[in-house]
Amino acid sequence: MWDLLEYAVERALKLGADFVEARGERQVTNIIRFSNEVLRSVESTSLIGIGITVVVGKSRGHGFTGVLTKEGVDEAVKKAVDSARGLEEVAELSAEPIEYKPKEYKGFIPSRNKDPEHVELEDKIELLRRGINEIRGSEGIASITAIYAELYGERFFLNNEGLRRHWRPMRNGVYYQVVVRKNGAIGFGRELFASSYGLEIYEKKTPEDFAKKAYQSAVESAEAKTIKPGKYPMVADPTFVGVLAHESFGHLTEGDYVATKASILYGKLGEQLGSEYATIIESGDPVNYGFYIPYDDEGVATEKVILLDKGVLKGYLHSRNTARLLGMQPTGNARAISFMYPAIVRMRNTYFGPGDMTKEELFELVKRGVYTEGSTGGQTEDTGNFTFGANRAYWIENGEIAYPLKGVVVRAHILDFLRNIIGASKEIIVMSSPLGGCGKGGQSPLPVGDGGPYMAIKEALIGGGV
Amino acid sequence: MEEKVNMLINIGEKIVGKKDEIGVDDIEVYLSRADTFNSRVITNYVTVRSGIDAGAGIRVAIGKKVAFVSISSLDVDKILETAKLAAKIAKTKEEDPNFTHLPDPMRGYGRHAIFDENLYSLGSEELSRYVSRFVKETKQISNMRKMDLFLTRVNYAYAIVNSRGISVGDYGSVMFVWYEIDLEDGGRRGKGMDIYITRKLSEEELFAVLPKAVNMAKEGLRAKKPKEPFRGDAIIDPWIMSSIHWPLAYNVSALNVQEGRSRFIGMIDKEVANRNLTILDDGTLPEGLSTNTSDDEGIPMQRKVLIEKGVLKTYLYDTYTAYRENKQSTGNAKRNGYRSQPSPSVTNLVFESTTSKKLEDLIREVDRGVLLRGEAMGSHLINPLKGSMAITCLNALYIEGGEVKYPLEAITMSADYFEFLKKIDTVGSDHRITTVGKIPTIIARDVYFS
Repeated sequence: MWDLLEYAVERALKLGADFVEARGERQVTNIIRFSNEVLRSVESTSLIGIGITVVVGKSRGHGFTGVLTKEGVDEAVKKAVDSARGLEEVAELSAEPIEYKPKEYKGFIPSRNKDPEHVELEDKIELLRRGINEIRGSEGIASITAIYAELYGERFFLNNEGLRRHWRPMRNGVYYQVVVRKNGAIGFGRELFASSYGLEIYEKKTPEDFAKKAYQSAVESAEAKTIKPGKYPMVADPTFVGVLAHESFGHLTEGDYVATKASILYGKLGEQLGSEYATIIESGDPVNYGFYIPYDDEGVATEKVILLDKGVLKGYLHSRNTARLLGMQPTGNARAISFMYPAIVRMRNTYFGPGDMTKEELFELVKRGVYTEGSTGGQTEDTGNFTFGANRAYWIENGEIAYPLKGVVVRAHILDFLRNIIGASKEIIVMSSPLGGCGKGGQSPLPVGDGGPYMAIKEALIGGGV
Repeated sequence: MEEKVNMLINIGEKIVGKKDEIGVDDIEVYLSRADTFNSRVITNYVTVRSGIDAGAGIRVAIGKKVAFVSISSLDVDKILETAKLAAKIAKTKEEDPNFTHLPDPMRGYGRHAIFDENLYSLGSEELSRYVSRFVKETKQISNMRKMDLFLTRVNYAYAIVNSRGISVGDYGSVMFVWYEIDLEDGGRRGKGMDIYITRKLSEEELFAVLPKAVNMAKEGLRAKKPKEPFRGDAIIDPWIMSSIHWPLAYNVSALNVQEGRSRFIGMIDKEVANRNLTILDDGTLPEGLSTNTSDDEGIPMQRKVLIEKGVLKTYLYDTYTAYRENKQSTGNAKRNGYRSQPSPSVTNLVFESTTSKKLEDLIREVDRGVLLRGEAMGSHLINPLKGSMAITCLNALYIEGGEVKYPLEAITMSADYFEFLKKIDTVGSDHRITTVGKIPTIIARDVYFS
């Protein structure tokens, strides 16, 4: 691989590139799927190739190939250079990178005692089956879907400055989805978990617990009540606030959106945007169950970035290029989903910082309102307005969970939401997702992590549940 | 392009010919090659990529033991090695009692989608010129705050060869353009967007997205907050209707029905939608994005009535689900390229018109309601089983007395999805080709807006 990357850099310089990055990749994705108690499928995908990103003048182009020969590389380099040249006349913002003095990754590295790359397929099937066995035959079950997914491999990086990196990304996780039919009503529940730990993590985080939680959710969902749309106080769990930290705030801090003034956070460094409980951090360090990323796809060691410190905007996320455009330092946020794509500014692990309360104290603080657990996903527009679905939701009465709610969707403007945070728990959980990830610029799903503490919100607009 | 299909078939036949060496009862090789040019421009920040994504997905069966492995390479030796890995996985796997066998050939190939030689042969220079024109024309627009442009052209070819006699392939060329613009005037912001998807390039239609998006953004500058929540009629444009089609697709999948995950279990010949609603699943639609000679496991694509006058007429089958019921596949096997194995999905949905009216005339039919168009949030949050739906539209228009009164700031339409299907009583004739088929403007009566 290194020979071809060196060749790619050399060829691109000869064709007139001002700056060259060559990335090699070998990635395996395996997915095991059970439908009810039947092992429905085992899928294995192997991705091998080289991507070349060049800067010509102010313009950037990317070419790629899965043909690992000099001829394949020649064609990819030519496409990269031609693409860059083709749009040189409209590329007003320079694509040139800022100077980077290489550092080493200093964050947390999750254990990998049972590396999925070296664990037999049968053992992974059995791991997944443990959850199914736990809930099979339970009352009302109409369907169980169970998925185990993993990715592992190697990334190689070389640029014309001689910076060379090699790292091994890895993630694995489980997903259980249960449909229950009870007294004519349908209930739907799901639970998931993923991390960059080896498979030893499932001794502590057991598939049985995840499956049970999915079943309980389905039962509760069949009995859930409707909430009248309107504004309510709420408590949100680490997964729900993590999705908000990523989708609604994190994207607005991405250097490409900031440099083009597309983000509402442009020019707001130092401003108080949220309450004292609103701290948002971004790191390649997985914290606990996030995605481990020591280097980004420009070879930059991933830095821990405090985006929001007690409500005050402190930073943005950068590639080497956006750091240059904004006169800041690279943060190790240039990422590509595979060799087929150029690295663009992306998140890694995005999470709210801890507070000083317990979960029980937060419920006591809110007394009466909505509790959201997990997320079914959501959407944010660049004005900061967002809509997010809760995986589960409950009505809180007298500081305690009273009953489950149906189809709760939370709508707000992120800055209003940040200002309305009135408390956060000491405990924080950051987690990845077995199959999903972030989507941006046509590159989806990119593995990320997100999370935070349990948080209390003074007021949020709750919809759905019709 | 035909030579590329033949090249893929040739590779597939070489691998299938080594079935005994691989050590399986049956083998299927799906090969694809996508030559992609893609550019994204955020105002003045440009990213371009170009290259060929090619690979093979191999499905093998040993009795009722099935496995799928894929590789991003068209090298025969590497594919053979991958096929042997698939055989190894199948051997270690337990039997799938619901699996019968890999697909048998079916007659009926022949329909090709539109192929535009001009679109296919555009080089990166010409495609870059289109991007440049968008950027330059956008710069002329006063109050422009942000532009976001995606322009993608894909030339694709695929082939499927299996050991039961299937050997087929097809090719095509598609362009996708997403254009979004933000205007800012006196502290107010207005956003507009439009999409162009085609198998036959028309420069006039391509650049028409720009003024449409700009007009929408200008209207957004004078948008008002919705009044109090109210019940009214929703006029839904083709793009928003496309974004909320998926719970229907989910529930008509034979796999979801067979495995207890569908709301439409036991609903064949029963009413699931308004009596005015007839929806086809047409894999032979010449201009449809999903149209090819065969589906993704080599079965001829077909045209079928999915919902007729509100009554569900069929589920959608691939061979796995069809053979399980001793039926023929409906030609609905779909993959996410060579990296995934097939499962049943819609091809091109076609909503049959109930009226020759187009948007302007449909507005006159609404006493009080909202025109939902442009960008919508929350469509993927619909619960496909429970039916809870809340779609927030950013470019809506308020309608009263059959006239557009004023543009609205973000407004949310809430409904139970299955009730919503029964409320669609008017289907216009202004169809557009979208990512999910050929969809016109529709009217759903008496939904909740907040």
